[in-house]
Amino acid sequence: MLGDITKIAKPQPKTTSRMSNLLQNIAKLQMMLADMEADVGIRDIGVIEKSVLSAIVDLTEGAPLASTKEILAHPLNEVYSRPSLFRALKNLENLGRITKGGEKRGLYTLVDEGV
Amino acid sequence: MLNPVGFSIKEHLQNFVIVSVFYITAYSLTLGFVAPLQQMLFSNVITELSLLFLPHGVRVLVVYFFGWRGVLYLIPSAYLMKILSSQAGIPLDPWSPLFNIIACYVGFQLVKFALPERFSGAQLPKWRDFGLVALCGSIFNSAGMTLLHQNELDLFIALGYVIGDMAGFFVCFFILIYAFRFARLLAKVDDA
Repeated sequence: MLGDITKIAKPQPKTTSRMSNLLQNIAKLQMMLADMEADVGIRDIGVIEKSVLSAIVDLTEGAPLASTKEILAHPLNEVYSRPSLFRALKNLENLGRITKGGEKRGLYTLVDEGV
Repeated sequence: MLNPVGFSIKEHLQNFVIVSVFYITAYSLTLGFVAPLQQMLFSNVITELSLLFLPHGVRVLVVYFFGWRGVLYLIPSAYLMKILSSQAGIPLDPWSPLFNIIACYVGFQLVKFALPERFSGAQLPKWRDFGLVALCGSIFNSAGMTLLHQNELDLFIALGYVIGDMAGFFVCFFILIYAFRFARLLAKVDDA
């Protein structure tokens, strides 16, 4: 039985395992630092997230809530695709920078400490 | 060519160089920037005690990633920096570099023993776990350093070592955060 397994298992190239060791350590370090960034509240947000956040800041100047339709149509977000903008909204919500508000769906407002 | 523990000599050399570069950089920053600033601002603090000891963060990461081999990787650069410290007018006990590293390793092993699920490899340890390793290692380190340099356990000085190590640990991690951010920014500029 063991012999069968050893026959099937292909030996891994040495260079790949060595490189993956180093890359694994770097990946672990980056994940741990990302966790620290999130906990300390200094996590950097992407370009699209910044654009969406700016659009919401602009839209909520005159009204308490900004609708998804308004956010997508905002001049700052014209260059981005709809899926990217929806992903950015979700990321911002997960990061606690914006929150859903109102009784209808698709309405967002800024979280005070995120501004 | 693989040695009995399954690592090639080239890999050991690579790890040793990476560890040495980071340790020497962190120590040089402490020695060349933090120590003079500390002497200016807190002239009553003894020279052997650094209130922002950056190499502690490097030591914690090295013992986590390389285990006991990390201790061996750290020894040459630790002694090199001990010599440079003496040249800079900060005389250290000959045993202190070795003691610093071993204290950190013992701290790591104790935390690993107390929280086996966090360091089992099944999940990535959180930065708080590293903080715990840093604290545990620092407590051993401060007790040893106080005994080595003062010949008695002075709690006030021991607390100073802990504060210096922990402040160094946090600052070291923040430097890494911003270094990775800068690397990502450079990659974006390269792509554009």
